[in-house]
Amino acid sequence: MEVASPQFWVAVLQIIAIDIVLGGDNAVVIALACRRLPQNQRNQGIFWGVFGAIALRVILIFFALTLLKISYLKITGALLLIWIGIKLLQPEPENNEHTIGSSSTLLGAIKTIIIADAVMSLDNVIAIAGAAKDSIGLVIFGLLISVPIIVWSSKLVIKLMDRFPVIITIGAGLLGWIAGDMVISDTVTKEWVNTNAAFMHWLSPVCGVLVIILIGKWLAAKTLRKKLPLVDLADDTDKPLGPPQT
Amino acid sequence: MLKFLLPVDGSETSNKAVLDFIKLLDWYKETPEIHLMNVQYPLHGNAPMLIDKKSINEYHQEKGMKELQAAREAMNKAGVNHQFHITVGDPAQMIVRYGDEKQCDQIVIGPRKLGAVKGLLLGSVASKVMQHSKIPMLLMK
Repeated sequence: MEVASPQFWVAVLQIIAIDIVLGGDNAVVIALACRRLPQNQRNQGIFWGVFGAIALRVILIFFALTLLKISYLKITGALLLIWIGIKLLQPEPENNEHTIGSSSTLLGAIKTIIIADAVMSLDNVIAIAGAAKDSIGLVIFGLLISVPIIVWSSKLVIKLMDRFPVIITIGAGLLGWIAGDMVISDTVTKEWVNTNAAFMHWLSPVCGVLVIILIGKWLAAKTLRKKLPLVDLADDTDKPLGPPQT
Repeated sequence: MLKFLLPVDGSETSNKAVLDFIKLLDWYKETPEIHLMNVQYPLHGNAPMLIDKKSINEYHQEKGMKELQAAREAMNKAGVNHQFHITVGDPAQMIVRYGDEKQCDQIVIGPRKLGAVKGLLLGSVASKVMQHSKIPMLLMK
């Protein structure tokens, strides 16, 4: 891809958007996993958690670029992306009993962080690899952009997503677009699409967007329709006011 | 006794609204029952899948208590009895639901003063509550 070409800049914007919607919560998960640790271990936990998140992305992305040249793997990646996109649109589940690791011990926290880093890096890497369309330069650019987002701006990113929930919908749709694009650029489908069905170049991404938004929104509406009881986390009267919790 | 719901988010406008409302309390023949309420935004994406519910609730609770702090201090200083609550969800929606389900008589809220453009883009929680509330509202200016 030429640096001056519009496709290049479209890909750049796509990668930034992916980093924002998929990377923004990584730091939060790390911070949450370390919450119950004693203060001196907490900072260490957060540091290594962030370090691991970045390191895993670097390792995974190199695998991803080589692996994606194998037949059917792009299609698999596309399906994964669809699932990630649908997942992105779901509200916070009310009863998640399956707890991965109790975070009151250093070991428990490390376990949670490793799983979290692996899951989120994988999401991020598949999406970036898809958006970068085999351009190593873009892939590295995507990695570089995701680092400051994980390290510094996650609070800002999350505030933005709280205020404008439409960002999440756009992000999920973008994943669908990339997934649709990946399906037709797999080594098995590429030739056939190029010779027989050039219109698939726009139809397939559009279908990807529709699938994610329609199924994602429908599932989310189904969960929300079961009107959940109001949960009060601090139903208290006239308790003496203690010092502010920090 | 009248039951008033005061949504509070710890921002300057919201704290000022609470202070102003305390000054208005002698309007009422008997001091109304005051419920301070804080709403936390739910976590997005992978966080709820990877972190246990208890930790998430504690996290919401901690943040909520911080945002309630100033309002509670003001109430205590004025010697006004109050209750406080923290819920998780879309703020406007939760405020409306709470007022409805707990049979409050009035919602007291301080709308943020946004400019024309910002107001159009962001909309305030107060204006959303105004649209959907089934009970009367008092807007603190």
